[in-house]
Order: sequence, then C-alpha cells, then structure tokens
Amino acid sequence: MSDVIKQKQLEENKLAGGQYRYGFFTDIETDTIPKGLNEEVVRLISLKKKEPLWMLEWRLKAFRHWQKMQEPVWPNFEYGPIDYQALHYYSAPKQKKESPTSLEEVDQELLKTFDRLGIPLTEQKRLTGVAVDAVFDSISVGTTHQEELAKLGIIFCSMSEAISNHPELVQKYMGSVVPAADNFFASLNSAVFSDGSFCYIPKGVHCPLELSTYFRINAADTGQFERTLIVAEDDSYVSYLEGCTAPMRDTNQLHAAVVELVALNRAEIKYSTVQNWYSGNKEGIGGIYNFVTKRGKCLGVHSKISWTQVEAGSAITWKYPSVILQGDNSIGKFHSVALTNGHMAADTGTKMIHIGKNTKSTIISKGISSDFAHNSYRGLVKIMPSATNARNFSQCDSMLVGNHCSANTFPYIEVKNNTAVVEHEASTSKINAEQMFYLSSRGLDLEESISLIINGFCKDVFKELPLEFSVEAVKLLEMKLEGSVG
Amino acid sequence: MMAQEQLPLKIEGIDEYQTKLIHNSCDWLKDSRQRAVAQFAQLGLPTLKDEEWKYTSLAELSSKRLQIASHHKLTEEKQFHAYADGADINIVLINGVLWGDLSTIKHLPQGIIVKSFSDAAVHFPAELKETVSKLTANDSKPLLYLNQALFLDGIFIKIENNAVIEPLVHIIHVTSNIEQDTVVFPRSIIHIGVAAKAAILESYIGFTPNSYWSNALTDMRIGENAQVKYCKAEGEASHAVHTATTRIWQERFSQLESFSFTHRAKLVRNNLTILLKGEGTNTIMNGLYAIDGLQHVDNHTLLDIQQPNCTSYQLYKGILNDAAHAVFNGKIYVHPIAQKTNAYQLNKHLLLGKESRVDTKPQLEIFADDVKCTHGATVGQLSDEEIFYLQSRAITKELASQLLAKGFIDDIINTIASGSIRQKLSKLLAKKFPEVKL
Repeated sequence: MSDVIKQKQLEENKLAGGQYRYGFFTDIETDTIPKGLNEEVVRLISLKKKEPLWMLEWRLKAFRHWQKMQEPVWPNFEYGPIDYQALHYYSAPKQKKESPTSLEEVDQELLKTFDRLGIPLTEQKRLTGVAVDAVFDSISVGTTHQEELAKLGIIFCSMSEAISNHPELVQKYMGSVVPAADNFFASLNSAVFSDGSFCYIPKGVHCPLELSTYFRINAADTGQFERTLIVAEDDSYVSYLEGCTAPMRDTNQLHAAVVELVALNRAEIKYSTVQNWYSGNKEGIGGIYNFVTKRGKCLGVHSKISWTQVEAGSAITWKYPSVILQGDNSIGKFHSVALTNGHMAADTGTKMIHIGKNTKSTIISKGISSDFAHNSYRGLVKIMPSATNARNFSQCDSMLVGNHCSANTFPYIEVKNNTAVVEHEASTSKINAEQMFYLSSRGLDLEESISLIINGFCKDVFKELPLEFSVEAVKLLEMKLEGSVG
Repeated sequence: MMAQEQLPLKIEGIDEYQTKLIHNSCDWLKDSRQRAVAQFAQLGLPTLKDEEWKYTSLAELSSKRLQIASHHKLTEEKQFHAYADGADINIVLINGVLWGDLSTIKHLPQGIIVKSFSDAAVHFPAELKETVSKLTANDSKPLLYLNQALFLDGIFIKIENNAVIEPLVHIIHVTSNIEQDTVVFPRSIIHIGVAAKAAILESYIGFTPNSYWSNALTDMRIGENAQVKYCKAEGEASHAVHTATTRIWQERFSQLESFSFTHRAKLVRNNLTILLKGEGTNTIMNGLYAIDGLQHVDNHTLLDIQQPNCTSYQLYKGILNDAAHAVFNGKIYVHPIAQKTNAYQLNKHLLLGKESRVDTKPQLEIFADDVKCTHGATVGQLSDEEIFYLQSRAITKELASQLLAKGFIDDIINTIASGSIRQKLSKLLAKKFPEVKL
C-alpha cells in the first residue's frame, strides 16, 4: 500500500474511532406514564407536575395546534418515521420523598449517576464557580448554589418550581420568543414539556457563577422534552452552560427541547452548549434525534446574545440557535463546531433577524465531517427594512475527511434595507497535506498532528467557550477522534 | 415530498394549437411534444411554496389570458440595425421563427451549420433527440416542459470538429409585432464539436409596446478540447417577463467562458446549469444584473461537477437602484468522484436604491474530500471613503457615485474576452450608465 493511501486511511480511522464514555444505563425505579399521546396524556403530565390551570390550558392549546401540523420534510437528511404514539412522554425517577428539599434527600443512585457523568452534585456544592441544575429524563433532580444566588436576587431553578413559585415571570416570558405554534417540534414540546431550567437575572446584576444545566436521558422509549427560559433584566449579565448525554441503545430516541432567551436593555446572555448525546453505533443504528428550537430575543437596546455550541453527538442534530435583534444597537453572535462521524447527520446553523437600528451579528461555523456523515450549515441572515446600518459577517468552513461524507452550506441572505452591509464566506477543504508534513517533520505523530490541526481549525469557536467548557470541548473532540490508529 | 400547489396557466386556443404543432412535427418530435404537454399539465406554474421559487412569483402570468404569437415578421428594422452588427454571423429569429432576410447565414464560413429547428429535426434527428430528452437537477420543469411542448420553431447550430469560427455567432431572438399578453418560446440548440473554437452571443430583444412573456430554452453541448465563449444578453422590452433555461454540457478538457447579462425586462428568471461531464474542464461562469425601478431578477445557477480535476470560477455582480429586487441562488455540486476540484463562487451586490432588496443563497454541496471550494456573498453600498477621496479631488458627490458604480460594472464587463460581445453589452448598458465625463 502506498504511503499516501495508508495515511489517508489512518486519518479516516482516526476520526471514525472513539468510544462513547457515557453510554451506561442507570437501573432505577421510575414513575412512567403509559405510551401514547393524546389530550389525556397532556392533562396527566400537568397533573403530575401539579401545575396551575393556566399552564394546562397553555399546553392544551399547543397540543391542539400540533395535531393540525405536519412534520417538516425539508432537512438535508433522512430519518425513519417517528411514531409519536410509541413514546413515553413522562418518565421520572421515583423519589423517596415527595419533593426533596436538599441534595441530601435525593436518591443516592441518581447522585452516583451524575458522579459517573463527571457532574458530582454533592461536591459541586462546595466548589464555587458553577451552579448546576441536573435534569434526569423528565424531571430536575437537584439544583446547586440556589441560596447563594438568591442573595443576589437571581432565580435559578427547575421550570416546575418556577411555574409554581414565579408564575408571573413565566407567564410573561414563556412563549414570547418561541411561540407555542412556532414549528412542529416546538409545538410538541409546548404540549408535553416536562421540565427544564428557569433563570432570572434581576436589574444590574452580574451573575457571579456560571449557571449550568446537565441533561441526561436514561429511560428507554421515552422522549425528552425540556424547556429552558432565561430572562436577563436591564444591565445584567449571565453565562449559561448546557451539557447532555444518553445511554447507548439501538433504538432512536427523540429529544425535542425549546430554549428561550430574553435580553432587556444592555443585558448580555452567553449561552454555551456541549452536546454529546449518544450518536449511534458504527452502522448508524441507534442514537438520539436532537430536534431543538433555540432562540434568543435582544429585546432591549444595546443588548447582546451569544450562542456557542459544540455539536459532537446525536444521530441527527437539527437545530438553529437564532437571535432576533429587536433592540437598537443589539448584538447577536453564533459560534459553532459540528463534528459528525459514523453515520451521523447534522443540519445546523443560525438565524439572525435584524429589526433594530445599528444591529450587528457574527456567525462563525466550523463543520468537520468524516466516514458516512452528512454535515450541513443552514443559516438565514435577514435584514428588515427598519434595520438601518445593520451589519453581518458570516464565515462557514467545512473540513472533509474521507470520500463517503458530505459537507453542504445553505446560507440564505435576505436584505431589505440598502444601508446594510452583509458579508458571507464559506470554504470546504481537507486537512492540508503540507501542514501534516510540517508537523510530522517536527516529530509529532499522526494522531497528535490531526488533533492539533482540528483544534486550530475550531479555535475561533473554542475561545468563545467558558474555560471549563473549553477544556471539555477539546477533550471531547480528541476523544471522538482518538482510537483506531495503527 | 409534499404535494406542491400549482398555478394554472391560460393560453387562448391552446388545444388546437397543440394539436396542430404535434401534427406538423416529425415522429420523434411528436413524442417529445406529447410527453411535455402531459408533464406540464401535471405541474402547472410553480408557486412561492416551491423552495426554488421562494422569492419570485409568476402569479401575474397566471392571472392573464395569454396569446400565441401569430406573426413572425419584424416591423422595427431601424431599431434592430442599431443593435446588430454586420461583421457578425447574425441569426435572427422573430417570435421564435428564423427570419432569413436579416440573418447572414447564406455564406457561412467553413465548419458551421445553421438550420432552423424544424429542418434540423429531419436532418439530424439522433443528435437533436438526445439533447432534447435531457433533464438536469436545476431545470425548472414547468418552464422546460412548456417550452418543449409549445415552441413553434427554433435554431440549431452545429460547429464541426476542429472548426475555428472567427466571427461572432450572434443569435438574436426578437419579439416584435405581437398582440397584448403574448407568449413566445425561443428555442436554440448548439452543438460544438471536438477541439472547435467559437464565440456565441445570444441576445433577447423586444420592440413592442405590448406586454409579453418570453420563455426561452437553450441547450449547448461542448465537445472535448473545445473552447467556447458564450454570452446570454437579456434586453427585452421593459414590460416583458423573461424566463430562460440554459443548459450546457462540457466534455473532457473543454473550456467555457460564459456570461449572463440582465438589465431590461421587468421580471427575469434565469436557470443556468453547467454540467461538467468530462475531467479537466475549465469553466468561467460570470454574470451581471443592472436593474432599477420595480425590476425583479432571479438567477438560479448550478455547476454540477461530475468528474475530477475541474476548475471553475463564478462571479455574479448585481447593481440595484430604486426598488429593484435581485435574487441569486448559486449552487456548486461536487460528486464523490470529482476529486481535485477547485471551485470558486462569489456574488456581490451594490445597493443604491432606498427600497432595493436582495435575497441571495450561495450554496455548496460537496461529497468529495480532496477539493478546494469557496463561496462568498456580499451586500453593501458605495464606500464613503471612496466617495470622500474623489470629492477631495474636486469631483462632485454625484459624479463620484456614478464613477464608482460604473467601476463596479466595468470590473465584470472587462472579464469578457470577446471584444465584440463587450461592445454590445456596453451599448445596451449605455442608457442606464452613461459614460462619465470628468
């Protein structure tokens, strides 16, 4: 075999390899409602969560609308038909006590699970820096640092708690960014969402901790439908992290979440995700369908929302974290790394809707595709007639490894104001042979070289991540890439 | 796919006309027409729900009762002579039918054959049949089938192997002397032989005060090692709707410089597809649209790279004034086998009008790993610094803007290698962008 071919194969193997470290399953007693979806199920979920009537009505309205909707068919990948009647819409680990008031009362088995995932909830209490809300299947099992945050007036709790304790805030903002009738999966989520995180930063507060939610799917044949809402009042700041994993199974599981961000005058929200759902085995069997609606609204003047995401898991990722730039001088940012290997498919990108004057947006997207994977960037930059002096810069780079994968870009640019300046550039290439040669001449082996080049390729995005996540993201990519060399 | 909605199309006396056309065609053409009639009947005109027609509405055509052109004579000879040039090989079609009086095809140089479509259908049935039956991914099927079903006649040009045609081959589709709301179907087939060399300009012009719809179809096959310069110039009447499907197949090591120019009709849709069927081809795919008023121009291009070692450059520029609306959708598709592809695409817009609108979608779909592909799109205005610089050199602001706009256009016009084509385009543009005198 010639050296060139060998090297190519090695490169391909390298990206193909990597074991999924979080694929274990926790055997825990659960409270699961029967499979199927109808109005009764929606009522039952609401009942289980002891929700007020307005919330039930909201859910039912969404459900009735969803029944009239059709599943979208436009994405650039194929997936088997989802039987919405064959899923459990609620599955919660049974708690010893009705509602645990502190982490000590939470089931040890659950805490152990999060320890194994590297989210030691009990230890986290003592560590400063990050407050965690841990969501296990349909419910939140615990939130750390709540008291400390409450001193500053920050509310950080599960969505169920927020609905009962802060109904006025939830009623005001829920559905204001992603309406219940927004799209097929958002409507479904609005009808059956089980939990999620709620976060409220009062006026003038700079949140001292990184807030974070860790999502874990555990039970089989369930769908996870969580809903996150973050509201940042005038002059506030918050950085929010999201992580996710699931056990290895040979059936596909549906995850349809909704995330809404609201930034008022001069507020800043930084939302980072490291998505590592189980992506299926080498033949492409199993894995999570990650169909998520994420949207932020820069409602106030000079507000800023930035999305940073590292998409390394899921059989299919289908999401477009977007920003509606409504306030004058507001800023939207989107930084993304999407790594697809095996038979994964990612159709991801962003929407930047410029409405206010002098609004600015930046889009940096890096896609890496290997094996049989499909990686698509799909984005929209829309400059409305009112958005005088809007500015956008987009850059989408793709890297292909191997000859069975694909990389696509579908950027939509719609400009309705003649003072706008919009730039878009995209490129597709492979790992540069000269760079590889240079690194090997400096004594780096193949694995190190590829890792170094890929890290460099993604650097623009990694540097946007908070420190802890940045380290995790680099490790995650390395893990995905490591393995079968030699 | 979901069932797509469709717009109905009403053409006066369509059934008798179709029967007559089919009756008068030779056998293979009969089949082709019949198939196209059936297929169009299924599709109807596309609506905004169709992703490929998201920004361009043909509702206006659907609301009218259209006529079929009944005359094929030119009445505006004076205007015509101002545009055509005696030194070229002029091939003139009036409302879709070859007009011998003005065409200069009696004494053609060696190596070029020019025939009306109906003649060629009898003399070169195999060649034409093969081309007509082709379908590409970028074709807007309703428009393609409508032309194939209803075109009355057209032109067939064949350039023989190794022939070098020095003068410019100028195909002029004229719409003239028609009733209100007429529809015409210009049709051209161009076959270029192995190692042949030619420059071809295809112009669409209209001299009628009546509104009309011109739905054109051009197919070009370029043989191995051939070198072709092809330009499509749209200069229809200002109240016309112009939809054009242009399909080009390139064989091994052939070179193509194509240019698409749009500036006049109120609604234009160009579907340009270039298929690289052989390896080592070289393609330049440029275009310019200079529009104002309420004009709407939609360019859909596809570069379908099916073989390795191909190089392509695409640059489309648009300059928009008033409330003009431009749509660009450029796709580069690289098949898994097409390694060592170098493909570059750039789409630039200059927005001068307060209400001008741009919707652009440069698109890459890549299935091979050893490639270098880039695309870019920009939307912007004249730079304040550049205007300021010119002002500091005692040039008025207005003149400075004109100068910069002219520069934006000249930049791309000057990429056209054929002087004769360049000259004609400048002539067409002169009304909108007069020579700036300092």
